[in-house]
Amino acid sequence: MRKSGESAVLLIFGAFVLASCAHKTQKICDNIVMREGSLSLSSNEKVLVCGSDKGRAGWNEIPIPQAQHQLSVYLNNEGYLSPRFEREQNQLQVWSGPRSEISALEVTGVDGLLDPNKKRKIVGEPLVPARLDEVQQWAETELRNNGYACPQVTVQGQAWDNKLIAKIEKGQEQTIGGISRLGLDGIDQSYLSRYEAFEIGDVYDVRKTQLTVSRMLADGFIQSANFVAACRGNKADLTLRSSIGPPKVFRFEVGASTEEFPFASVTFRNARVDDRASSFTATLYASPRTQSITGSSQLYWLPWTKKAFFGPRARLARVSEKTFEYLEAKAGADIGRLWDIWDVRFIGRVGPTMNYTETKVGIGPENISYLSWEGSLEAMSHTYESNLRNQYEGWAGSFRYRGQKKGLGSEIDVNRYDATYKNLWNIASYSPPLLVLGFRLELNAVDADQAYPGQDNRELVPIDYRVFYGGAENLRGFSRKSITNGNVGFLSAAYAGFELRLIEQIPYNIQPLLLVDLARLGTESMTLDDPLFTSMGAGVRWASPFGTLRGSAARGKIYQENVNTAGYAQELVYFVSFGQEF
Amino acid sequence: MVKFLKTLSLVLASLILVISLFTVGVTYWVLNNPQSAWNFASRYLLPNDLKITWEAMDFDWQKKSWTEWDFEWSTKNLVVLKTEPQVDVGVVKAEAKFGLNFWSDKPTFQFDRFILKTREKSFYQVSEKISGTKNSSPEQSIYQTANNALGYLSQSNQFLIFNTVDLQIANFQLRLPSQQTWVVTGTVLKNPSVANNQAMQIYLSVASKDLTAEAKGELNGALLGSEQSFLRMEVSVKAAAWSFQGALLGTYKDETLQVHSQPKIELGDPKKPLVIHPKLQLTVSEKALDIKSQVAVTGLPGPIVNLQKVEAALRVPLKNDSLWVEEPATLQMDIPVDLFLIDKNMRAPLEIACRCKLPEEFHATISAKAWLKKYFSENKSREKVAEANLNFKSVENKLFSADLAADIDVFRENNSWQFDPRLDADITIHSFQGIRRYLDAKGVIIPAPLDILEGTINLTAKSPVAQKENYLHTALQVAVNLKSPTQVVGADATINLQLANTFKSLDVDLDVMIRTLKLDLPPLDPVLGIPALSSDSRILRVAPETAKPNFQVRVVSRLRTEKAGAIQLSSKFAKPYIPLSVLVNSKGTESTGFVHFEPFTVNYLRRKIFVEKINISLAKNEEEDLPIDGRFRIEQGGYKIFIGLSGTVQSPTVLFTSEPVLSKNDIISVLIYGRVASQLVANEAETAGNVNAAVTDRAVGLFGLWAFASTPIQSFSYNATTKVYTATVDLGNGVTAGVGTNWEQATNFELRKRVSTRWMLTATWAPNQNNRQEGRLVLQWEKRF
Repeated sequence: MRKSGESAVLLIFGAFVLASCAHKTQKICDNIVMREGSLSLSSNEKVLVCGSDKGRAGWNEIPIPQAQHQLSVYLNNEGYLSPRFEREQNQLQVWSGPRSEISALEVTGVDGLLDPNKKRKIVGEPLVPARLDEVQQWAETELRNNGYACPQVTVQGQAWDNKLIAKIEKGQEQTIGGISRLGLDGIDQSYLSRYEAFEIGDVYDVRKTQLTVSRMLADGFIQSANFVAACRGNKADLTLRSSIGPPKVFRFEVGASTEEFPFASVTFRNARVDDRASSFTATLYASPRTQSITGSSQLYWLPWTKKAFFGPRARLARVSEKTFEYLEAKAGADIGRLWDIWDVRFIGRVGPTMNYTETKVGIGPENISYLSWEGSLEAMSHTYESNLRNQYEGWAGSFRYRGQKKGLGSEIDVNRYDATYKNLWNIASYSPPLLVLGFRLELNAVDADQAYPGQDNRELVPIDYRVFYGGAENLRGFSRKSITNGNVGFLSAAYAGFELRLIEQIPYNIQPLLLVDLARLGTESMTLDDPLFTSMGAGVRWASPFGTLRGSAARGKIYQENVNTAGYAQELVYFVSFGQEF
Repeated sequence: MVKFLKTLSLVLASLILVISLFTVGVTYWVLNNPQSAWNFASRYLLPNDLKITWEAMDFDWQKKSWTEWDFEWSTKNLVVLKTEPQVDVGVVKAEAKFGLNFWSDKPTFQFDRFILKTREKSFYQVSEKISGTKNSSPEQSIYQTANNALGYLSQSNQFLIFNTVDLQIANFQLRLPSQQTWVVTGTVLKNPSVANNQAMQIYLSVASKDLTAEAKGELNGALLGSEQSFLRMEVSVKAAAWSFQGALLGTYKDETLQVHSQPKIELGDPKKPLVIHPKLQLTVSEKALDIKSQVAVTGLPGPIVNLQKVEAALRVPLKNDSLWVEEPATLQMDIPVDLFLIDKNMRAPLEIACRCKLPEEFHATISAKAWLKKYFSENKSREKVAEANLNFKSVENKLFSADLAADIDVFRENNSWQFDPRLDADITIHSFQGIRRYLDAKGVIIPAPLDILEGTINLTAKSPVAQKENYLHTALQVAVNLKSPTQVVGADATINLQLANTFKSLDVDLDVMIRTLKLDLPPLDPVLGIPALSSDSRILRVAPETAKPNFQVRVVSRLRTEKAGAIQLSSKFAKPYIPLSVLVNSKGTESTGFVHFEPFTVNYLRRKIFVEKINISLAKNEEEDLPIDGRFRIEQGGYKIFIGLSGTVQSPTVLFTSEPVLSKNDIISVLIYGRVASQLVANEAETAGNVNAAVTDRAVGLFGLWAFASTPIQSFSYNATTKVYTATVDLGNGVTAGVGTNWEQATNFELRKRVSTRWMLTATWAPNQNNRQEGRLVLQWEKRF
């Protein structure tokens, strides 16, 4: 009985193999059949091969020689450079022939500036126009990124040896000679320097012009902008062509986000309060987790600088999480500055805040008013900023401080320090990358004095000072903010995360990844205790047209367990997120 | 008187005696002192530039009787040097032993031994003066020359015999005035063991840079006068472009020489030669030299691959005592050309189409005359020396009619040749469909929508072929009158042909005048992209050739419309049609001229565009792009928007103006959304801004611009780094289409769905307040002010 079963399996397997080996035919039209290979035609292409009843009589049928020519063109453009045709009366049979694959990529005229060995997804790929376009775009982009604003690139494929040759005339290396700005009537253009990722005299890099435009658009004070480079010897003169729209926007939104569902918001923003493009924004926001009204502004009123702003702000909110619920009111003002140096974007702000917090659920002060100081310094390499969407390389870091002083409405001194750092490496610098290694580090320290020595007065520390771990943002093997230290939170934390991502090896741009997270937490200030929290797992990232979709499966594991860790589940945790990155 | 006669006799006898003694003495001295005698002769008798030397020379004779003598002569390393003409001939060895019998009925001149061996690389420089020197001997006809030579040879049987002959000429260089050198090697052998004293084995080879020839066979004088061949030679000639291989058989009887041969002649590419199998018969008689041949040709290029039963007859009249006669030589050829160009399986449908019986073959005849006396004369005045006529038997049926003839007169003036050809041809295709079916079966593309046209095409060539300094010129006229229910093609063309005198190039000047051209455009949806009509030229199929072809065809063409808008392209989007005027001058790969679009209206989806003008210059700029100048008008949202185009087709510079006056950004907003920028929500404003940026950056080509102007845009994203744009356009009925390039290249992207005028559903990806990336799906209402 078992033998007959095996025979049946073998028979089915054999039939499957034979069926796979048999030539499949594809009917292109009623009178045209592909005997070998397949071809997907667009409706327009099909008109030129098969004819169409939609047109006049001349296009109802296509003469066989013309159809053969068109098919030959389409097959050529798919890499089938030697198709074969057989005609019998009005019937045409097509054999695609072998598909030509690119044997080598050669680059001439760049003196080693471009390394064809670093260009992936070309050698071994079909010799088709799209690959020529890709090489051309790669070469032009790389040259524009490295000081050559007006390169001339010609790419040819050689069918006889399947080589791809990129012939390049890069011209002189150029520095930025000057900037002129058009379409910014009513704006004091000297204040736009806060957006600019470059300065006159810098080596031309098209990514920096693009970053500049992106920052302007993100701020919303202009509707559109783009830089045009005109080459002049070793200089590239830039012209910013932009247009400004109405400055005030009133917007009503209902929807859902990866953080909250559902939510509604009403926003008013004036992106041009004055000719220095100062802005003011007011938002009314409501979701099951947060209900708030906020107002913030960036006012470029400081007389001694054009990159620093004065930022008064206020917020009234009710925040409800799984383990706590509180009401808060804040009002404050910052001095902030945005600037670029060493190919890094810096954003710094610092200022006092008057806080009122009322804890409804969870451990925390029931009702407290205090003055706090908040400050932050963020840094982001231009490389990272340019690759923000595809997350290929670059680094970003931040340092935040928030503190309150005993006596200024506060019963205790509390200082919270947060430092983050993330680095992405494109291993071996392929284009596109093959493997991207990500590393992120987060350090949290809360320094709270003891109002009543000898007692645990953790409830006196406002909730947003305390540290809760778990979730896609750090320990991915544990549920979101599930490591709570008995709901009182931690005062110290050190986290390191690693991720190794495989790029463009799987269809549809799905990127598989491996992840490892490590964290130690401390219940006391500046102290890291056992145990060691770890997560290990795998996941995928998909850069969809409308945002990044990530999914991960990681198992949380605790080393050097103790009685305090008994409540933490060590299990496989699944996350699906939209929009979040490593 | 008697005394006088006696005295005279005495004087004469004395004189004879003196002369005889002198002659005997001189002869004796010469025979005994050949070197001294030769030195004397060369000094006083021979030309100054002639030097003849030898290492050794012996002459001996033996008297058998007073009427029978034997002579023996030999020499070694004989050298003949001469400077004008330049001669350097060396004889390594020469021996002759022969006997004379003055009084016998047997052969009286018998060579027992005749040996001659020349030194290698001996040469003879043929000077022009000498080669052109006329023989001062009395003129003879070809017949006389041949008859005399063969007659003497025939009669020599009676008195001449050879026992041993060994003539060896090795690598003898014959240097011609044209700088060519022919290397001649030859042997003539007669072995004493062969009984026939008149049969000799002959081998002769001639080699030059361009040609090698070899002849091997037997000359048997004993067969002269009989039915049998006195000459049997295997001849092989090979040149770069042709070869000849075959046997020559010669008979001579009754004073008539006949030569028969059936060689194989190959012409052209050695891998795929044109093969000719002639059956040649040459007869030389007192009245004429006749060559008759039947020829079969295989391997012809094109549809006619074989020619069978080609008959040719050449007759050259002869007259004794003159080399050439006044009467012309005549050539008559009859060439039946099978209609191989019509497939067997195509014959029936073609005959049905034309309701006629197609001929099996064309008959071509060539008649020619050549006045050889004038040809070879030294008369310097212009004289007609030859004429020829090619005539195809007329064919006429309902499919086509053909009446083809060509004449050529050949003149000579001052040793230069002048050709005066004339064409007289008229071909009319009465049924374009019939020809179309034939061409279709042959795989020739008559593309849609031209393939449904019916009508006539007439080709006329009735003009002299002018002889210019460096080329021949003639002209053809073509008239095309085709139509279908919705299409018309009416055009006249003049084709001027210039064939270089060297036959190495042909210049074609094509002048096409379009009277009317109404064509239907294919039912393509413009937003879905125009399919490629040719393979990507960047992918090279073969390595570029550096060598020039042997025959070059250069085409210069001019295409023009008789009146403005003579070309009318019909499309469901264009009302009433797309009218065009063109002037295209093409030379090789370069073109100049223009394409003018006359005013018309485009209705596409929900937009109407008035094309006021588009002028495209065909003179490419440095970037191989075509300059453009045009203006569209769009009436939308109560505004008249004018889109002015300048720059190039691939990267147009766009100038937006409007009535009433709006800013560029407002114009683009109106163009895309029907409202000015201040009335747009943020997403729409961003889209309009991106389009503005892309247009400014010339990233959007003419087609993209037209698509955006005519199609409601849902989303548009532009990456200035890579100059890549991505757009989604609304085709109506819920159908959208992506226009542009890879969305992965776009820096900011939003998926949007308009719910109503101000409500928009968007999916976005952006950093949130906490600097975390956050995806959001929101229903949004927005007002900008």
